[in-house]
Amino acid sequence: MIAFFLQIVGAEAWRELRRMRAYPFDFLADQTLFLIGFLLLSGLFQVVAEGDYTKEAQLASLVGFLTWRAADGCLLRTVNGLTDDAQWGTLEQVWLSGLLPRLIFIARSIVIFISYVIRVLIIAVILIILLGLSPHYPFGVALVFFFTQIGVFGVAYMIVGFHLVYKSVAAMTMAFSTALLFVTGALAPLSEGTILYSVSRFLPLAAGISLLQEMIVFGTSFEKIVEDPNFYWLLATTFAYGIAGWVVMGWGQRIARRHGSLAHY
Amino acid sequence: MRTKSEDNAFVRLANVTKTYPGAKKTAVDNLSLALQPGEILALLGPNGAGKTTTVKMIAGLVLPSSGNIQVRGFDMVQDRTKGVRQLGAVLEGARNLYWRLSARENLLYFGSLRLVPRRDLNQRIDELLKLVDLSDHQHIEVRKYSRGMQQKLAIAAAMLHDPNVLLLDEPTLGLDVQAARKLEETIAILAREQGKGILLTTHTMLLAETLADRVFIIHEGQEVAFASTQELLKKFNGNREATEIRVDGRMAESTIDFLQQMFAGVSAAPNVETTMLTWPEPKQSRVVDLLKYLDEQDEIILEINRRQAKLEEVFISLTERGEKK
Repeated sequence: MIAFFLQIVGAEAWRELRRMRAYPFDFLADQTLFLIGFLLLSGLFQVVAEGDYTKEAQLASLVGFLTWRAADGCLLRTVNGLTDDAQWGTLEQVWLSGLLPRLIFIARSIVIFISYVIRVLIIAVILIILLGLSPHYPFGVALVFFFTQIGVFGVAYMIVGFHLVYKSVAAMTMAFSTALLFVTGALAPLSEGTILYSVSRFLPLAAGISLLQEMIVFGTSFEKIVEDPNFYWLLATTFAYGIAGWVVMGWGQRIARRHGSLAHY
Repeated sequence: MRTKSEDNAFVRLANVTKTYPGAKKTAVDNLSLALQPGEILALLGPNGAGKTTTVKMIAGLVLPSSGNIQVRGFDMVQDRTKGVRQLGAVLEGARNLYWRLSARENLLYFGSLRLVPRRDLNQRIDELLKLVDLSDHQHIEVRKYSRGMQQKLAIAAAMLHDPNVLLLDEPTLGLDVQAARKLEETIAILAREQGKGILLTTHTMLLAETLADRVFIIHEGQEVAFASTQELLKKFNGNREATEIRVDGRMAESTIDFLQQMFAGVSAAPNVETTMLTWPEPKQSRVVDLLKYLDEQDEIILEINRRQAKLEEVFISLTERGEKK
């Protein structure tokens, strides 16, 4: 079973690489856009802070920005992958594979996750060097990053599930993804006690970004993080979004089969 | 759970009905059919008759409202994943393939998805590429293929896991005569030499007539006829011959309209010098009536020919009148 699952992950990874080969400038343009995007935002913050934009604040923004960037990529790629497949008719062939479609989606998600981690790491290395930042790399930081992104995949699966039934839902993905950048405290911390802060607590990225900033900017150890109630809130939101995504995608498949709308877009 | 069938049918539909949520009409109404090993079964019907819905229900892509569908004994509602492994499908109006990948890359991807063991996959791909005559083009991106090549590759992809059942929805749609002929040969090989059960939908009567062992005619979701091609033709030719009457000159459209009102089922093909009238099911006395009418209209009859009806004429006759078997 594990061997077969790895075979599917391998097939998805291989297909993703071929897709990148077919659109080589998409990758380059994407990387350049987000690299320059952060430099512009950083410059803007410098002006707003009247030169008091510290290295720690800059690093915190970078951690938030890159965590969001990975989430943004995973969300868009997951949803767009499905809508493209529906449009091309390959979605039905995926359904005809004799595997549980959700298993294939998990395999795809693993590949998409790895792909965006690599992209984000490349941007991170370049920006850290360019801006002269000094991040910490405590043990467990990858795990916290991973949990943060699982919640995002939960959201992606929910959109996919709704999209299978209500065909225009996928159009909302980019708006939602962009909103996450500004309402999760990714760029600048939100003021506690505000409505926006309370809302952000229930969004998939907020708790994770805050913990990652603690670890990477201030070097807080994983042992300390585990003692932080925020960590358990991250697990709770991740679990909630993950389960909700799984359930909604299953529901969407059933309804789409009833409506005969798997191939419609 | 696999259930024991009374016979060896690869596919069995029993009283299958499908009404899409919110739809006023029933897409498929109480259909029952069976597809036997090595058989080519043609599902014929006008647009919107329910052919694609039937194929997608067999493939487990659309849930039936009621009735039972089994593929090699697996219930396609309760045991879809197991049932799906027994079949391959090429669906109409879909690419079925990734256009940015080459033929071989597509087959590698879909082969992995269909859990063909890695050690066997390359050999299987070589066999299939040879079967569909694409070995020399296997490294070209599919978007650069002709429609016929894409269709053949889609069939190869559907055959990767060596399924017993192949569902082909309009396999020759949009193909030129040569490509269609080659595809027909491939379909025949799969059924006759490899024993696959093939269910195909088509608008091309000639394809059904030459390739299919049995024909299932569906109209407005209901079964109109289900018999072997020969039986169907024999049944209709028993009391219905087609009469062809060639009339001098191009008949006016108003005359043709009037003629068709008086003699239901007459089709007319006017050209510059003559008009060919074809009537699939007239009794001799009715033919005489028609001839008298033409004579009264001062039409000059050049030629009268009585021949056996073609499948196309049987199909038109059945679907236009919505006759039941």
